[in-house]
Amino acid sequence: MELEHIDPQTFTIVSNERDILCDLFTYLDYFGERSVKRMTRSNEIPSGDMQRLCKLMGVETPQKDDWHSFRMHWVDFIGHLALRLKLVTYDIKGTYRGYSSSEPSFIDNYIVVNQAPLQKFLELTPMAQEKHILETLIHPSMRQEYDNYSNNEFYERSVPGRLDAFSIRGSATGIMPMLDFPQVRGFLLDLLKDCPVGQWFSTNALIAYLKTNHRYFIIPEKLPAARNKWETISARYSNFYEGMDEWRHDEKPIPDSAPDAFERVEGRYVERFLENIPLLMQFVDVAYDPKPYAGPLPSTGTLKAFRITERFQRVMNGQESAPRVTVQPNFDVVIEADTYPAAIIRQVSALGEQASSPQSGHGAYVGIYLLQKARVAAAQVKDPKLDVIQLLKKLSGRKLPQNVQVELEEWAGHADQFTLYEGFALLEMAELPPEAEKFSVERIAPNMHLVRNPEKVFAVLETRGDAPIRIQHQGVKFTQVAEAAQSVFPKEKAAVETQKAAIWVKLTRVITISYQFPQAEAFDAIQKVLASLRCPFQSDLVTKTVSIQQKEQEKFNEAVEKLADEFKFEIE
Amino acid sequence: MPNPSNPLIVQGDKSLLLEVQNERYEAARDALARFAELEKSPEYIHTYRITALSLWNAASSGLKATDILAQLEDFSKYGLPANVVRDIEEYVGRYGRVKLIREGENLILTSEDATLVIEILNHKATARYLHGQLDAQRVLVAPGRRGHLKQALLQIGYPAEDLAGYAVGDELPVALRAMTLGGNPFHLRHYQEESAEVFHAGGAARGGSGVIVLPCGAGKTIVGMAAMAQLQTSTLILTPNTVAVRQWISELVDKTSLTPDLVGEYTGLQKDIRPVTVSTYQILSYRKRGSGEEFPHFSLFTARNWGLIIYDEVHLLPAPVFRITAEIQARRRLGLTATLVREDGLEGDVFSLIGPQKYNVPWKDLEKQGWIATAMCHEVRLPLAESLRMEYAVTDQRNKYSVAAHNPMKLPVLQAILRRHAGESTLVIGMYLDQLDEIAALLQAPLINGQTPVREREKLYEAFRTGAVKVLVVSKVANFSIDLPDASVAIEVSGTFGSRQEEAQRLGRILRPKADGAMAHFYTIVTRETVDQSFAANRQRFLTEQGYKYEILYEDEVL
Repeated sequence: MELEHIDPQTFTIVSNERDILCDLFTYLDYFGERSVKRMTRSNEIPSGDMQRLCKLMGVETPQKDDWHSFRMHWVDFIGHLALRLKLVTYDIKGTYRGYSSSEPSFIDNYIVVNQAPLQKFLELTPMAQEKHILETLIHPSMRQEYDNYSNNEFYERSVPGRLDAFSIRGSATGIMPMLDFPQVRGFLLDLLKDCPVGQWFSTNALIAYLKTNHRYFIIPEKLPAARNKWETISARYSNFYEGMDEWRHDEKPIPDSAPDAFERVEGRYVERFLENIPLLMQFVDVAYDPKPYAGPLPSTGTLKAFRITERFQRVMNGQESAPRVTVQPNFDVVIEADTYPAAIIRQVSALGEQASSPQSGHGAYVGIYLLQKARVAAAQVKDPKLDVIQLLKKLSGRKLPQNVQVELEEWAGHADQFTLYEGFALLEMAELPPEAEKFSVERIAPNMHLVRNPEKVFAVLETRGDAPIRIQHQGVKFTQVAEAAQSVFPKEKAAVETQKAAIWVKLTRVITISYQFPQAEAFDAIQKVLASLRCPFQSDLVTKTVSIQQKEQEKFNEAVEKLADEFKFEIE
Repeated sequence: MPNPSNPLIVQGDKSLLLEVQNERYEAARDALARFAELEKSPEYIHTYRITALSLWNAASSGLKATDILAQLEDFSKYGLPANVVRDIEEYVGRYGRVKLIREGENLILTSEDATLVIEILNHKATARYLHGQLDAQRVLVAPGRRGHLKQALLQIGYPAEDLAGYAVGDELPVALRAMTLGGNPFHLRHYQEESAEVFHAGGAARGGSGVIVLPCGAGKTIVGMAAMAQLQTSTLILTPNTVAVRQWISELVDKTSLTPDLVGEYTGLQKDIRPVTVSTYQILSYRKRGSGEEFPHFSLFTARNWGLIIYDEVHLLPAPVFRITAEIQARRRLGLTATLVREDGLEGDVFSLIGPQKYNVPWKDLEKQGWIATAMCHEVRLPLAESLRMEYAVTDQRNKYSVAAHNPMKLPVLQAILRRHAGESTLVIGMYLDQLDEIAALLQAPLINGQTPVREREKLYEAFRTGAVKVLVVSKVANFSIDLPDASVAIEVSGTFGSRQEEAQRLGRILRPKADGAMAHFYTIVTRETVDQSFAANRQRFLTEQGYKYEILYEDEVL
């Protein structure tokens, strides 16, 4: 196949920066480490988890008003892929729970990572993993009965692409259910395999080539017979509608007799195919016409050009080179691979922190991990049989730098450096008396012994008249030794006096109103009525004063009103 | 075209990984040096980084975005990430959109983009350095604000192409001698000549200011002298200390046509201003404490019509000198350093005020070529003395390093290392004066610390150079600018908490090539499982990133 070259200078070039394999493992690691259930009504990933995943993958979080793009978010795409690869399990059908809506609900729909299939998948070489993904994308599974549109380029918009789609009207009938799309995809990928890498080709030229040489690559020349007596296959293009209205109210099927029917159906498919599997898998870069589209919908002639990447050639030709691992004297471990080397990354990331972003040019993975003492020791604790030095030697295929090897030996040794003793005590004393010798576990410093049965040791020392001091530490901090004691530990007085933190006191303003009664009778009467009204008050018998809080003013007024027949009060 | 056998990987974060064991390594390294900064150079894979500053520096030397992209494509294993291509085009495209030119006495900021001129006029960072718009494309710059404006423009992302040129300093004939005054043949090494030429740029306005990064022992002083010989002008040289001043003076008299009467010393001890004057940062940034007065010695900058100012060990430039440097942008400025690592992170200010990095050669390359000694780093680990373990365990975090550094078990190891290198000129370097006193007494070796008078120091250095003294105990005063050609072993017993810059400088003391081609050895004695070891880990990482072989030994392997 020889296609016309094209200069993409005036077009908008789109490359897929996302590596499916890398993001797939990010997804699996994320849900493998935590228990997350999808949302009951929408079956979406909870927004907090979605945001974290987006951050980990380096993609934008989904916009709330993005529904009109009809395009699946990258994280959801990876989730569906993981499901189709059977690496995770979660429900996508739901059950009707009798709410007001007829939409299904998804109760306790946890995303569960399937360890056994994952292990098998990890055992494949990176290239085999990539091929497995490709096969899965080529052979999509139906989400439900009569679903001929899911994962189909005609009807579902590409995740990294820009083009719109045909309406799904009538897609369960007619010629559509009988078309062999896996075969079509395989055929097109085989065809593209012959294109030289890195050169831009015209999409129109590819469509023209197909029209001339493989006119029936999607719909067979001889239309197949109907599947049953209720169906009729009246025309080649009866499933495909065009219209000018955005909501397709005016759409009509494309007539078989139209001289450009091939370009309008198969041509549109080719454009959409290019921005689907090939763009998703980083097999191509594509170039779009930047001018706004004004013709019949779905759009046509917008994806102007494409170029094949090296990654595509490698996968299609099965050229797999082993990942290269370099351990540097500065403790950097550099992993370089043509394809995301998940198994190696898992091994190395257990020993160090990722020190640089793994983005590189097309299809290559480059990651730098900095070996860390804490991680090496933790990995050693997790797997006592792990030989870190041998592992890194095996991965890198050469001797480790001397300083790295020595450090690793020390770090691995740190894993069992600490022993937790319970019920023991530290005894600070130069020489243990013979009576206490039997309690000694270890002399850990010239003046320090680890002893068992501290109460008994204390008693022994007390009997000898050694005047021991027993320090009981609190659960959250060490107790300091008394000033008079002989000890190397910090003493009470020696402790640096830290400034006492001010105590936070929140004051509440309470306004008290006092009424002074000149008459003893009125004073007695108001007290009785206030008491009957359960109004809290204070009274001063000497000054004949009743005090109430401002908030009780209404009750006081009520009391005054009750006494209106006996007393006429005037407040100054 | 990208090719898997190529040595370079371009990453999306604009870091570049260069494989050393690749036949195209050297060509790729030379290409990258023009537009990327070398971050680290451990044994197998070197890391470079493309930054806005590195791209603008490249653009200032006339490189275009297409040239840079072509070079990257040529050496890359894989296709270039799209964002890197876009960023390179964007950043290089910004350089030169704003220019600084001179019209008569006035300094003018000019741009063909009238909207950009308005933006700069109204931007908070730049407005205060401008004195009003002359027309849509020209703005008058406030007098003496050239450096400040350049700094501010860099901050807002529109680096100025400075075409305002330099003041012509007083003429001074300077020539490099073919035979030194001491009677030795003398000529510039290829990299010294190259770096001086790159700095001078044929006298064009694009040259004349910048930083040359060369390892210790590679002859930065010679590069300074070569620059003086090219410019033939009166020169002010700033150095970190008086000993370095004296060494500059003696080198100038020994290797150039300058006679002693033309070279002056301006220090705390002596204040001679001559056509070539050598001074210290310390005296320039001196002022009476609490007086609030201006720095009295800043007048040195205007005492003569200097045509060139050389900043030796430019990474040590103190803040007041930064300030004055911003005001003397009309003078040619040359920065010299071995490590443009500042613990205060002000490397960017060095570039914008002194000038861009003009030349940088990895230490390892000069080592391979034999211009500096091959060095081997050894870390000797030993346990903390039993008597100190509990003291260390309970002492305050701030004192832990002191306890670990004073570990008495270091002394027998030190002696064992000295036995191993008996007869070789050895420096014992430390931070704690009491420890150094003890070592000097134990070894019966002379000690140089901050209190040693300059004359006494010079005498001891001279005795060390001639071989009369074989072991010299020094505090951090000997970190910089001391030329000790025959030191081949350095033993560090304590340091400034793992400072990277200090490590590089200390190692630099032994890098000058040895007459017999012998290897240099840099030992550090470290107390195991203490903060001493944690600091040593920083040092280990830094030195291995510079490309040095680093060996860890235990005390029983040395004793």
